[in-house]
Amino acid sequence: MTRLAERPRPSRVALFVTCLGDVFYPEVGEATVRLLHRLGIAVDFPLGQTCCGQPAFNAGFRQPARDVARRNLALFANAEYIIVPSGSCAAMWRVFYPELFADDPVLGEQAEALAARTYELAEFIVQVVGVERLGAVFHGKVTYHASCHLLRELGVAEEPRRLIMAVEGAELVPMDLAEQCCGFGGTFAVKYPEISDAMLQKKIASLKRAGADTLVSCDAGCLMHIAGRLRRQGETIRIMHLAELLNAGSATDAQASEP
Amino acid sequence: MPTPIASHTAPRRTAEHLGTEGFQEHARQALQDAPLQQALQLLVTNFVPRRVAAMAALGNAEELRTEARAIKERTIARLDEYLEHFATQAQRVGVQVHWAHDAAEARQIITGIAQHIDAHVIVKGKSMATEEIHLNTHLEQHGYEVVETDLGEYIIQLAGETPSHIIAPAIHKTRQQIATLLHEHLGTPYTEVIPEMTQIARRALREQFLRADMGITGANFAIAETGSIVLVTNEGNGRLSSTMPRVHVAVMGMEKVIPRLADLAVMLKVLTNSATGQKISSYVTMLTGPRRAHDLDGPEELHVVIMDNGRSAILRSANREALYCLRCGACLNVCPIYQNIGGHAYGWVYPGPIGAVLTPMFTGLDTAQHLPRASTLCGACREACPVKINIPHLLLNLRQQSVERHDAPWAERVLFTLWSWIMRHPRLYASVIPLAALAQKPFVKQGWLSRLPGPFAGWTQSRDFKAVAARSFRQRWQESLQHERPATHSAALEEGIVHE
Amino acid sequence: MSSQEAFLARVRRALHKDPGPLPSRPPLWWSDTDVVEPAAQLQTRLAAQRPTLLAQVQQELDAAGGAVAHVHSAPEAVAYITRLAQQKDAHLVVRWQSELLDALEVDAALHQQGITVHTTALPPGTVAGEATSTATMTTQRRELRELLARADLGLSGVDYVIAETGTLVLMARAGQMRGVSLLPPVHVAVARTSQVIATLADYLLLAQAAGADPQQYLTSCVSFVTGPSRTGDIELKLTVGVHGPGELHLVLLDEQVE
Repeated sequence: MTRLAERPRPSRVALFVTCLGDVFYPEVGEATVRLLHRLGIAVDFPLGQTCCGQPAFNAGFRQPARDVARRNLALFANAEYIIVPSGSCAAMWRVFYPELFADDPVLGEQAEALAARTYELAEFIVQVVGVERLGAVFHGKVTYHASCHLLRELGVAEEPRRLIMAVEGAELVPMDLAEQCCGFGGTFAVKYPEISDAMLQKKIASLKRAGADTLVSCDAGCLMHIAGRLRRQGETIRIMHLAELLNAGSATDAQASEP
Repeated sequence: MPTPIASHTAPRRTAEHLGTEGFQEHARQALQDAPLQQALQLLVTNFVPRRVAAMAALGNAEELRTEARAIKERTIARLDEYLEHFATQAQRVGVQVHWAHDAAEARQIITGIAQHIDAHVIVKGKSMATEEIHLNTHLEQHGYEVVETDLGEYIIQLAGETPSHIIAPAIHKTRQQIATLLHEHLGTPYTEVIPEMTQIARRALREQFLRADMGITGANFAIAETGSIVLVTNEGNGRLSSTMPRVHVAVMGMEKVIPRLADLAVMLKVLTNSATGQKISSYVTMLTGPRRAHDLDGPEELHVVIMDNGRSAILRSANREALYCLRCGACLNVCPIYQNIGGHAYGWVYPGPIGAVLTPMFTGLDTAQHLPRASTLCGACREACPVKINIPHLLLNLRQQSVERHDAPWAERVLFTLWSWIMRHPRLYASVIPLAALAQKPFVKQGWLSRLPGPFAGWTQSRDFKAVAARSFRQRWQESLQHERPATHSAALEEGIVHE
Repeated sequence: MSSQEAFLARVRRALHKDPGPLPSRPPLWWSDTDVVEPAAQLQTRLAAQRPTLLAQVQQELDAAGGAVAHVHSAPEAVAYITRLAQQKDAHLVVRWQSELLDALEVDAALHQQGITVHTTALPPGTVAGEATSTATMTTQRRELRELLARADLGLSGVDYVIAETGTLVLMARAGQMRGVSLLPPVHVAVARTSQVIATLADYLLLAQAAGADPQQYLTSCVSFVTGPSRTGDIELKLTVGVHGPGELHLVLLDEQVE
């Protein structure tokens, strides 16, 4: 998706915080709001939002997914931009909502229209706002985990890395298996735990080879998965969502609430 | 001389259609199987970088993939026309064309040919299509001596196993295991030196090529314009199987047809570069009819068996593009699931991502419904596919079909009905969160849970699970965040963030 | 309904088409233009590119495990072949019947080293294109097969050499057996530099320009040979010389030999 130079700089966006973000990683949503504020962008949060529908969709339950997605189409109908701090949820909106409603002339059109206005956070900042340096400060060796839907369904590869490199004090070090799946895959991690864990172990081995003290990703699901095992192993590598990194060391970071 | 490792201690590996339970068990065993894990690592360190380098070296890999896919799309959309044209052209040059509705009919046709020519010894080039129809067993039951000649297939034939990879069928076997097999079956001196083992197999199989009455191969492409079939190989066994015996039978899925001779250039390029990272395989053989009157070698008869065996059902379905598959194996090599569990756990002829699509479609979604689910939909397969098959989307389609057929466990059905209800009622959803936060409290340590109940326990076998946050995002928004204001434009500029 | 009709009707139904009769010819996506003109233009282009192409052949076939010898005279070509045959301690060489190989007079040189040479020719008195008795052909085929099974070295010409991949194009014909490049452990191919083309697509175009009918412009077997026989089936370790020749040599001759 290319930056539409003719479009005016965004002044207001609607946030889809994702169910994982809402329930497990509220600090990610907070950091997202604050960094958008620092960019001079106002944020709406339609309270009626819950989930994008991906868990049901991925499990093959398309009707329940459709029922939930339909609400989102209505809820966000007037949003000029829909910002999603998650690659997999953004992909659900952009790639799969049109597919879910392909047979419905009215909803299909709505889904297409909304999909065109939906952005994952990193791609929004770099491609739409046109900014890489946000004034964040974070001292450490950071490595980036490229979550699968962000990379391969949305084609977002370089933007998160560029944003990380623009953080003062942060040294971006490469991970040889950065683009390898971490084994989360939603319910996959629960249904096929041994295979999931084998994949996770390889990811963590790669993470350790990278010599980083911090792992950054754009997907809370991946972070939760990787962090869960690091904790079990007693590792001290820090896990951060990109939004948190981009908010680090700023005035608003100091405001970050206690859990 | 080193003591050979007794083959009975090595696990015997076969792909058996075992259903969900069997898959889980098989996968578990595969993860614990150190020699197998070592062999699978070879894919990661060998096949994958070779393909990546080869595609990069082409300089126009993207265009080639797009063109290859376009050729397949157009052909499959009019498959009936191209098949008919191929048959007409092939018959003009003396090929005997046979049409097999299913595996049984294909086996019958081939046995019929063998009987008709009074064959005794049959040599086989590597053919996934013949694996699909379990041809060898059938021929042996009818009294024919069948010899696999592709080195990898020969090895697993000696071991009584099935292939675990489309391109490298014996990749799961160590050199020690292979050395033992050759020594025990051929009586030749035990050696673990790979070139020596290769020469032993060469000598043993050369005899077979010279005495065989019939050669059976697959076909990588069938060219409608000329009635030719094309074999893509490296060892030379495909050439020998199609040249030495009196009769050559090529078995192929009906989707192998391509329209024009000129199309071969693109298709061949994406195939070999994706499969092994080779610009071209050592041998590409284009056969247009049996030998001519004044040819001094070559078969008297060339038979082509065109097989449906479930492909028309795929053609009819939303998963039609699964028929574009060139059987290159690239998706297997990059799949993190395949890399960890190997080919046999998939339970049938085709493993890996494409296997997870084809197996349920060929053998039934009811028994193979776990395969489309045993994936994180990471998309690495789609990225590697020379014809850009959107495998993740095909897997999602299969998951949907499985649910619609009521094959999903009832607990899941209940779960998602409940989930849908909660997710459509935001106030209910909002009230459930603090309840969950409360209920988990006794089990939470520093924001994490080390044990989850019931069906979710799988996660916490090896990982902690994040606890529900004490204050959800929506709570924080309502309490304070919504009152915070964005920086004014000039403040943002001062901070040096937003550039004019 | 024949099995073909039943089979295709099922395919048509799957494509949501009327199971009725088909159009007489499917779209083959060419506009029926003459291939002769583009083929002629190609030849001109290739002539100009030849030095680059020759270098590419060397590089590619080398990388594929073959050996390339670029020689500038017939005696040089013969010397290469004789030397190789001696190195391999060859006793029997079987070769194609071809103008180029005849003109090189390689037989004499090999005889001098005590090496027997057989040419895979049609039975004596046979004329290609005219009917020959089955019995005669059967005997000839059997004898040649037996010779090839014992041969130490196979010597052939080529139809073309594809520079992009270092591939030899060998078309089976009367006097030009498939087995010569397949059965013996060493295969030597002799080509003129004028036979070098750039890509496989070039070959396919040139082939089609040579005749209107596939039966004419494609012989029963076209072998594209790129290097010796190989496998990675054991632990993905590359080994050479599985079922086909373990050695492939290309002698590129750039002199017009009378």
